[in-house]
Amino acid sequence: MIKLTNITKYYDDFYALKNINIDIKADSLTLLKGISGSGKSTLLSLLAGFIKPSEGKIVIDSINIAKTPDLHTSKFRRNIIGFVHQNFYLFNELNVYENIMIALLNQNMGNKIITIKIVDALKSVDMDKYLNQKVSTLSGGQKQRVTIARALVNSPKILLFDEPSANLDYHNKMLLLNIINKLRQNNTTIIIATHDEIFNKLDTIDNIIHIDKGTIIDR
Amino acid sequence: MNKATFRFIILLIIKHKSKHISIFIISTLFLTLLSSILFISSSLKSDELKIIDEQFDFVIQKEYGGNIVNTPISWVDQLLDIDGIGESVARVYGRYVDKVSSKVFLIIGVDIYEKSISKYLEQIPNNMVELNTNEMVVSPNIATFLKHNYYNNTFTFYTPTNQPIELKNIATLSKSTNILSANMIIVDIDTARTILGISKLESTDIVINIPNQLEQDFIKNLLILNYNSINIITKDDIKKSIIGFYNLKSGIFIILLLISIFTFALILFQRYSMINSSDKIEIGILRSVGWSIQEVMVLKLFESLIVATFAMMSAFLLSYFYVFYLNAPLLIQIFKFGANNPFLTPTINISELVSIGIFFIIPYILSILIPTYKLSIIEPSEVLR
Repeated sequence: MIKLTNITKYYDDFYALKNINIDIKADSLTLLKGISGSGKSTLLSLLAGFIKPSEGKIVIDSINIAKTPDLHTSKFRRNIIGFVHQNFYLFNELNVYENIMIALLNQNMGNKIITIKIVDALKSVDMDKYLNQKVSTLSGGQKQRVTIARALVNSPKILLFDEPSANLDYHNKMLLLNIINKLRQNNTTIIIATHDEIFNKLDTIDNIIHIDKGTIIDR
Repeated sequence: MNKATFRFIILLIIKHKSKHISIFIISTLFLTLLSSILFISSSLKSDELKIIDEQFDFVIQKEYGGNIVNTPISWVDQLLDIDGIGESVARVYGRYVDKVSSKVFLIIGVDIYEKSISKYLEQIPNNMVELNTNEMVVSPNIATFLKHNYYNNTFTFYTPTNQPIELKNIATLSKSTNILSANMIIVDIDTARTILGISKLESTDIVINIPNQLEQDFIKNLLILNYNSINIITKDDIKKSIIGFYNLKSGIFIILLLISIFTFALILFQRYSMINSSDKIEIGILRSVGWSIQEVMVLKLFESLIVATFAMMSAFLLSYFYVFYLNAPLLIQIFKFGANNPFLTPTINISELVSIGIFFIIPYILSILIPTYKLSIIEPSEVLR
């Protein structure tokens, strides 16, 4: 489903990733491990289409996203990818509903469908009772779950998590693991970039890829 | 655009309210000033042109040694003998300066039996049909002036030979009378002659009507050939000078304001270019959930359009109120002819408003879209870093 061939990403003379080759099967769970600055986040950004590789091919669902123009990459991101950021990146001035609504606005959906999708996404992370609550009033763990709901609202085939436990306490980390375990039942491909050992507690892990200084050192 | 997107745009406007409010206030002030000038100019111009339309086709004056002097009454009949001239009327009017206050009056002599001239009297209250030699009708500003400076209903004029003539004010012209009635005092034609020192054999000028418009140029040339000491002012000349006057007056101020708007656009550009981290994150979030550059630009376009349109509508309403309800205090000084402020009749020139809108909206939107575009093309991961 996801095939990265000879991926290299450099900025001027700094190589963030060097000659990466990865095959990830559909519905699998992959952990990308490595210390800060090892290239995990760059790899996730490439998979999400946020950045283009300097060299190589990224084929997802038979599409080489390394070459697609912005309009197609955006459409691909909207329909295929759900991205959960380390820092949540929510609009604090808006409520939970409005924050998730943003991911659905450019799809010509009616209000009813939008509401159904948002409520479904929030139910999957057990946040539906906070629908109309302002994000600024939520705890870190709750914000994280809203971010996951926003990533899920378009029913993506691939979910990408970038250091999802970085801003969470132990209790919320455990809640996050439960959510990820539940998501695995929905036939979703999950890739988690982390250096947190707690993810080893996940029910099933299909791949663990260790990255250091932009290269895969172990898998 | 669906309801949810519209809701999101409104939420964004509220989110950026501190940024929008300052821009909104400055924009509204600029546009109010600009549209007020156009409203005043359109109103005065249209009023004057309407009045000129009702006037005679030619004004004929006698020249002597290059100066305009009184016109012999005998010309009235001579002119009527020329084929093509339908009407010929002698007019008696002139400036009278009150030495005490230095106030300048415009004395208009009317013959109530002369239908074409007596139309001034149509504006006199209570359908007055008679004006005695010791009576006068004054414009509203003269009525106010007399009330403040003299006895309410009488005023003493002095003839050029220093003979006093006391006239009783019997009525005031309606306030809705146009700019030309400012400073006007209507008196009987013989009284006007006495006050202005014009003999019974002379008039200030003679006005003629030429029913067939195609003959006007021919008759003008004929008159110049027949009377070499003649000055002819046509209705078109007057119209052109009025249009020219207002175009010049409003043009100068519009140019100044356009320069200000250009400066304002630069300020806007600077303001919106100073994108803070919150703006960056906003665009980054949108891009990361699947918004294309084009969609982000459209969103920002609508956001700025709503603010700009709201500022424009507020400015137009404010200027309408300022000009036509308050009679444009201060700003009217730019246009005023004498010491009096004319009454402004509501007149709106849609094409001028559209021009203001275009001049304002284009730089406004560009000043928002250019920085947004610069930010949108940055990779979302860079923006969210």
